[in-house]
Amino acid sequence: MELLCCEVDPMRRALPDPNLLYDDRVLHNLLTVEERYLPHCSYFKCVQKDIQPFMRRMVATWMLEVCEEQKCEEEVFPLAMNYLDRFLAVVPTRKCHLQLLGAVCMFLASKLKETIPLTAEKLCIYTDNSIKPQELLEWELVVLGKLKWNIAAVTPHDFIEHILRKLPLPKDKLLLIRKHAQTFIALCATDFNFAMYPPSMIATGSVGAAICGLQLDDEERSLFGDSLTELLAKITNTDVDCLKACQEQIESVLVSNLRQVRQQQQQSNPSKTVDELDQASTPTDVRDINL
Amino acid sequence: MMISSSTIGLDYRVRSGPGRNCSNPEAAAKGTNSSLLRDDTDSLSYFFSDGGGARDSAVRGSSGAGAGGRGRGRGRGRAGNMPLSQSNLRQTPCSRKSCRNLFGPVDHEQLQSDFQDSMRKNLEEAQLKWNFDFETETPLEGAFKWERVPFPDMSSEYLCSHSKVPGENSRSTSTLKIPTKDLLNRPFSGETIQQVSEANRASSPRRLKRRQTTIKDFYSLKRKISSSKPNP
Repeated sequence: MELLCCEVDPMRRALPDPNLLYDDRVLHNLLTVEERYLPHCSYFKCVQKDIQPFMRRMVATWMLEVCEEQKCEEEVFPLAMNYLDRFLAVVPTRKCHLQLLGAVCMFLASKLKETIPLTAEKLCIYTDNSIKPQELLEWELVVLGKLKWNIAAVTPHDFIEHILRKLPLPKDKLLLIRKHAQTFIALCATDFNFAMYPPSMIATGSVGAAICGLQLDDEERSLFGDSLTELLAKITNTDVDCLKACQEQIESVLVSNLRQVRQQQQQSNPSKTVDELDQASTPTDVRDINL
Repeated sequence: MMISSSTIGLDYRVRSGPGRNCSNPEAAAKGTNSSLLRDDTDSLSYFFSDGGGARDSAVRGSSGAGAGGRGRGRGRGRAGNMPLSQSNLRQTPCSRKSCRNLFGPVDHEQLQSDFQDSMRKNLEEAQLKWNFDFETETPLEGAFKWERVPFPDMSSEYLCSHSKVPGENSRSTSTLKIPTKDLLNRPFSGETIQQVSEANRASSPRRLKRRQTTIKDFYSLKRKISSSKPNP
């Protein structure tokens, strides 16, 4: 008992495994299988009648908030969005059931990726008790069935370490670059335009945007503009032009998000908003980036 | 109602009580009792998941198994012998700002009927795919040839591989029994899948049995290696 009480950091983490990270077969396998987990179609046009793109953004923003507040692992949110998109690509869903679906997707992703997953009850509280735990559990089965129990999807996070390892980055900046790239990935997951992109492209674009945003190109010539893009494209076998477009898209999403944040800041009580922003990791990181 | 609870987390605990009452009376009753008993132990997430009732743990169990090793490890911890110091890990309270209903009132009846529809369709698809009627548990005509595996046999095989793990025994029997009570869960329960075990390939029962013992051998072999380490 006493011993256990002394455990300060509750999360026991495995050390990075060189057998996985320093073996290119892992990266190649990820690249081979990633397409299997993409949604089948752009579902707003062909499947959904009741659900509009802005609703996806609403539910995604809420999901991101919940994940951040509950300090979920970084992969949980993009993975949950992957489930949501794949489900919506095959099942016409009612607007009033969309939040339940979002909660179910977080429930599943959290169980897959976390040592201590989110509970059904907690997720229901986050919907302001508009759904019941029993319903969440029932729909968990429905979602799993529609995903054919294929829930170990490849996410952009799976590529981050493989990409970072192959870049000549200063060691002291590595943590910051990783954090920014993760933020960009979360940002992409909230935006439907990225839903059909392969995770490797989002990961590569996010790392590129993070490096450019931090202006590390002063220190290392190979991290400068086009040579960086070429280097990145080679790592994940992405087309250079596609990657460039993707990175630009990420940067423009960032800019529009920043604008929104500023607007909200001006609208509501300024001092309070700053406090809240400091707690939420995304906007804080975003503000750190030198545009 | 709000008693003297100072944190948001405690408020929500009280508030969410009635909601659970409507959905699952017995589980909720269990949950409320333990919440009164353990009001000051910060074990919110734990008593909730324990109080979720049979159905809850069945679903968790099955999806946890699908979700892989880490999920299962956690399930074992839930069995009630987890020390308190670990039970309050995920105790981050829900802020009022994030607790919101996005798209207006949820039509619970519609939700229920959509759920029933979807599960029925699943069942029909599974029936076609496996030429097996999962509701009456009878084989149908089709590509697969079905053979009955006597239940006691099967369960002892199943338990053997788990019984050596402390605390695992009782849990695995309970998850085995529960799904059979619930019709909707049937096509997904481990039990049916074990009975199913692609009979068209294993043409004779003897071959089927041999395959299972090989897996068991593998497990016991692995166990020997791990247990021999701490001995010297």
